Amino acid sequence: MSPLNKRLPRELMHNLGKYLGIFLLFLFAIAMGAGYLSAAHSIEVIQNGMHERYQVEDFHFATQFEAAKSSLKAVEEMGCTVYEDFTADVPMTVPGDDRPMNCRLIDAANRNRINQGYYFEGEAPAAPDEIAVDRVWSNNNDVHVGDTLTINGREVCVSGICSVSDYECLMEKNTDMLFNSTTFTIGLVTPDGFQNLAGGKRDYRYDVILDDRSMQLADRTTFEQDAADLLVDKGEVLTDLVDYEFDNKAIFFAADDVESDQVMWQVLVGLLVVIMAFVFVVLTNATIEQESAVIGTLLASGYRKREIIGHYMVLPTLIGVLGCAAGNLVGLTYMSTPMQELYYGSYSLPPYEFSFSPQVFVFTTVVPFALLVVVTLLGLVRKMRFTPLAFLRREIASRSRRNTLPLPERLSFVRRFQLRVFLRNLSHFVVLFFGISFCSLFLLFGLCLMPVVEHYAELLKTDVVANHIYLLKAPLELDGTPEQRAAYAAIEELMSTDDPLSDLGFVKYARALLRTMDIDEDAHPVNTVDNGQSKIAQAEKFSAASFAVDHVITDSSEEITIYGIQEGSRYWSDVDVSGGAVVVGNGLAKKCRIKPGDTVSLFDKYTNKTYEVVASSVWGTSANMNLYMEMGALNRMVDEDEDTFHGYASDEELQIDQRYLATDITPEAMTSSADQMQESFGDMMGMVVAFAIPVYLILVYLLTKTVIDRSSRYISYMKVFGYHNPEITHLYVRAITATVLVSLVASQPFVIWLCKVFVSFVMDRYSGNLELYVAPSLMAEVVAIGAAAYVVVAAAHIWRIRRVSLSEAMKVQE
Amino acid sequence: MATQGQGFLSISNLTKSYGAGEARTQVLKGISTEVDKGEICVLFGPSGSGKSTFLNMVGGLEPADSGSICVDGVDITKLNDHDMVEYRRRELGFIFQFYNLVPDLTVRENIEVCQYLSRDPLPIDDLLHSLGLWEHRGKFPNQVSGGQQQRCAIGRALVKNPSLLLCDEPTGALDYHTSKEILELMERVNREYGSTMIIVTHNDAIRRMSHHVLRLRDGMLSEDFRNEHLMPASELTW
Repeated sequence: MSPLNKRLPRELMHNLGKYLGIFLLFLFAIAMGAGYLSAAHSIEVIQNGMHERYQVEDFHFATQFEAAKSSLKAVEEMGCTVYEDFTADVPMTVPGDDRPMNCRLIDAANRNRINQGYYFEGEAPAAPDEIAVDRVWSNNNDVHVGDTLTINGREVCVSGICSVSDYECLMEKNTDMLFNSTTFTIGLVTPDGFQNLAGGKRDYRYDVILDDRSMQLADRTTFEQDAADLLVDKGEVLTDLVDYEFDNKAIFFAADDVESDQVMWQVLVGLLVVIMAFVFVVLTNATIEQESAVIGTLLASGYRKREIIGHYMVLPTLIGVLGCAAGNLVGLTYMSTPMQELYYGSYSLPPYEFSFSPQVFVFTTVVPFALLVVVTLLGLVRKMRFTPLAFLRREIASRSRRNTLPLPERLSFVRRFQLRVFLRNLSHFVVLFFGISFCSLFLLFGLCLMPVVEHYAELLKTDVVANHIYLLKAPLELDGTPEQRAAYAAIEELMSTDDPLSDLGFVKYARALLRTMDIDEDAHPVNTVDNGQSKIAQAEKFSAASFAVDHVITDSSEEITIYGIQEGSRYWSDVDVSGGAVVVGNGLAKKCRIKPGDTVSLFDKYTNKTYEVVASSVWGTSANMNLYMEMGALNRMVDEDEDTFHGYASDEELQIDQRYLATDITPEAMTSSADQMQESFGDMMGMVVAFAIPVYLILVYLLTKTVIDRSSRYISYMKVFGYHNPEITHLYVRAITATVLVSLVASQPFVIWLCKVFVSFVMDRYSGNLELYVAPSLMAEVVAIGAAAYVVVAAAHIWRIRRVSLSEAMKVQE
Repeated sequence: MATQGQGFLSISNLTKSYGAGEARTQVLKGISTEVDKGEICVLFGPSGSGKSTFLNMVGGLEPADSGSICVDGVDITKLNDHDMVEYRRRELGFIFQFYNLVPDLTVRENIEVCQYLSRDPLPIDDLLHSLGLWEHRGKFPNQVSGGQQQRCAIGRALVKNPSLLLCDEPTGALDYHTSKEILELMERVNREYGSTMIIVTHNDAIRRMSHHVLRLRDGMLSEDFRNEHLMPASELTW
C-alpha cells in the first residue's frame, strides 16, 4: 500500500468542507433526480400495464339517443365487443361544503367487465343508497367511507374509495383542457342506485374491446372510423368517438403529464450535472494548486505521475461513490413517497409498485459519477505536464494578464484589494455566475409557475368574449313558435321513458304524438324553453370544429377550436373575418410559430382529413388557442350545411335543453380551471424550490470556498500584520459577497431568458400556451432568497477565516 | 551573562514546548534577556535551537508556556486575542526570508496593506523613494528582483512606523551583493526611524553591525552581549 494513503484521512479532515460539499451535491442531485425519475418510471410501468391488467377499453363512442341493439351487433361483427356503459352527470353536495359539485354516476356492475377499478378503502356499493367515489376527489374533499353525500337530492352513503382505469384523471369532458379533481368525481353505484339517482338522465356511452388488442393506432383509428360510419348508416346520431390512447384525456392525460414532467426533471438534472462538471473542474484545479509543493516534492523524489494521479483520485472517487450510494438510498426510499404523491395527489392510479429503471440509474448516478472521475482525472493529467520545479515553485496556476492589471490609485486601498481578489478569482467567479444563474433558474421556475397560471387564467378570462359561450351537441334554434316548442317538448317526453305508452298513459302518449306532427324535419330542432325575445336577440350563433395543429418544438400536436363567427359579430367585434380572412389566436400563433401569410394545416382526427388555411392576422391574448373564420366559410370547408351552427355566444344566461348542451364556457369556469392547475403544479413547484435552495447553498459554498482556501496564506499574512478578523472578512468576503449579489442581480435577464426557453420546452407538451410571466416582485423574491441563502455561506466563510492559522504565514516557502 | 534591566523588550524565564508525553519537546528553556530601544539585536543559533519560536513568541504568533515578554512595559503574554492583534498592528513590523508578498498586489499595494493599519503611517511616496522602489511601484512581485521584493517587504514593515521590527532571515534568500544592500538599508532604517530590530539569521557577519548579539543553543541563551565596535553594513564581508 502506498505510504501516501496515510494522508487520505488527514486530507479528508483538512478539506472536510469541500468533500462534504461534493458529497451533499451528489446526495441532493441523485436523491431528487433518482427519487423523481424512478417514481415516474414506476408510474409509467403501472400505466403501460393497465390496458391489459384492468381491461381498459380500446375506444368508446357515444350516441345522442340509446343505440339500437342491431346497430351495436353490426359493430361487434366488425371484430369487437361492445359494452353498454351509460353514465349520468348529476349534482352533488358534500356536507359542510357549499360548492356545487358534479358526480358522474357509473353502473358498478359494468366495471367488473371493462375499465375495471381498484378499491383503496371500503368496498363496492351493494345497496341503491351506496356509492364508491374517486380516491383523489375524496382526498381533496376529506370524504371517507361511511360519510353521507347528497346526490341529485338523495342521501347516499360512501361504501368505498376507488379508482377506475378510464378515469386516471378526472376529466369532466374530453374537450376540457384541465382535469377537475375538486368538484368532479365518478361515482360507482348499483344498477338500482343508478336508476334512482340519475333521475332519467342518461349519457349513452359504449365501450369497445377489439378482438385484436394489439392493433396499432393507425389501424385502430381506421377501425373506429369505420364503426362510426356504420353507426351513422344505421341511423344513430353519434356524439363522441374517443380512442383510448389517442384522444381519451381521462386515460392518457396522466401518462402525458408524467412523460412531460420527466422531460422537465431530465433537463433540470442534466443542467445540474453540467454545473457539477464545472464545479469539479474548479475544485480539481484548486486541489492541485494547494498541493503544488507536495506534488513537486513527490515528483522530485521519483514518484511516477500516474502514482500521484492515482493518489489524488482516491478521495474524489470515494466521496463520489458514497454520494451516489447515499443519493440512491435517500432517493429511492425517503424521497420516493413525496415524488409519488406528486402524481397520486392528482391522478387516480392503482397502488404504487416500484420498478427499477437502468436508464434512470445511468442518468442520475453513473453519468454524474463518471463526470466526477473523468473531469478530475483530466484536470490532474493536464496539470501533470508541469515540471517538478514548476510545482515546487507554485508556478502551475495560470497567470493571466488580468492578475497584473494596473488599478487606478484614486481608488481606495480597500477597493483595489477587493478588486484584486475579484480579478485573481475571476475564473471561479465566472463559474459562480453560471452556478448562481442555474440555481436562480430553479428558483424562478419553482416560484413563477403559480403567477404564470394566475396570469394565464386572467388571459383566458379575457378571451371569453361573452358571459356565456354555449357549445351544442347539435344545432338547436332558440327562436320558434309555441307550437314548435310544444312539439319538441313532446319528443323529449316520449324519449325520456323506455316504454312511453305504459309510462305516460294512452292520452298523454297520443297527445305527445300529435304534437310531434308540427315538427319540420328539414329544420333545426327548437329549444323547448322560450328565453324571451330580448335574450334571443342578443345571442349570436357560431359554428365550431376541433382540429389538431402540429407543435414546432416537439412532435406533439395542439387540440384547437376553430370558430366560425358572423361578419360584424357583436361579441368578436374586433375580429375581422370578412373576405375569407382567417384570424389566428395569439397563443396558437406563438406556440405553433404561425405568422400572417403562413399556411396552417388542420388535421381532423375523426375524418382523417387535413385542411389548409392561410392565416390573415393574429388576435387575442397569448392564451388564445383558437382560429376564427367566417361561419359560412367554415361550414363550407368541413362540408356542413351553410346554416349549421354549434353554439351561441350570449351575455345573458340562456335556458337550453340539456340534451343539446355540450358546454357552457364562462369566464368564471376559466378561473376554476386555473385553480385546479395551481393545485396540480403546487406540490411540484414546492419540490423544485426545495431542491434549488440546498443546491444553491452547496454550489455557492464550494465555489466561494476555493477563493478563501487559495487566499489562506495571505489571510494569515494579514493576521500577522495586525488585521482583525472583521477587517480580513471585509477584504475577502466582501469581494465574494459583491460578486454573489451582482451575479444574482445581473443574471436575472439571462435567467429569465433561460427560463423562457425552459418553460416553452417543458410546456410544449401541455395544452395551451403558458408563457413565462415574471413580475418584478418575483425577480426580487429570487434575489432575496439567493441573498438569504448566501448569508449562511458567508457565515461559514467568516468562521473559516477565523480559523486560518497565524503559522500559515510563517511556513517557509519559496 | 544576560543583561538585566528595564529595556524596551524585556523577556523573563520564557519557556515553550511542543507535543505531549514522550513526544514532548522543550524548545525554549527559560530565556531571559532585554533589548533596548533602537537596538539592532541579532539572534544566532543552529537549526532547531528555537530561534523561530522565539521570534514568533515576541511577535505574538505563539503563546508562551511560562515567563513574560514585556514590550514597552506591556506583558504581551497576558494580552487577550483582540489586544494581541492590536499589539501586532501598532508595535510590530515583520520581515520574512521569502518576503511573503501578496503576488497579485503591486509593490505599492503590498506596502499599502500595512499602511492601511496605521493611524500615523509614514508617507508611502517618500518610503518608495527611500527604498529605491519608486520606479517599480506599479510592478507586481514576480516582475521585480529578489532584492526589490525584500525592499518592498521592508517597506511594508516600516510603513506602520513600528517600534519593533522582527526579521526572520531577511537576507537568507538573497545573493551577496543584494544581501549587503538590504543590510545597509536596514541599518539606515534603524538610524533614521529609530526602530528596534530583532534579526534572526545564520549569517555570522551580521553580528558585526548589530548592537546586541544573542545566541541560542538547545533552547537556552549561550551568548548575550552588546557589541562595542560596530562595523557599518557597507564594510561587511563574508
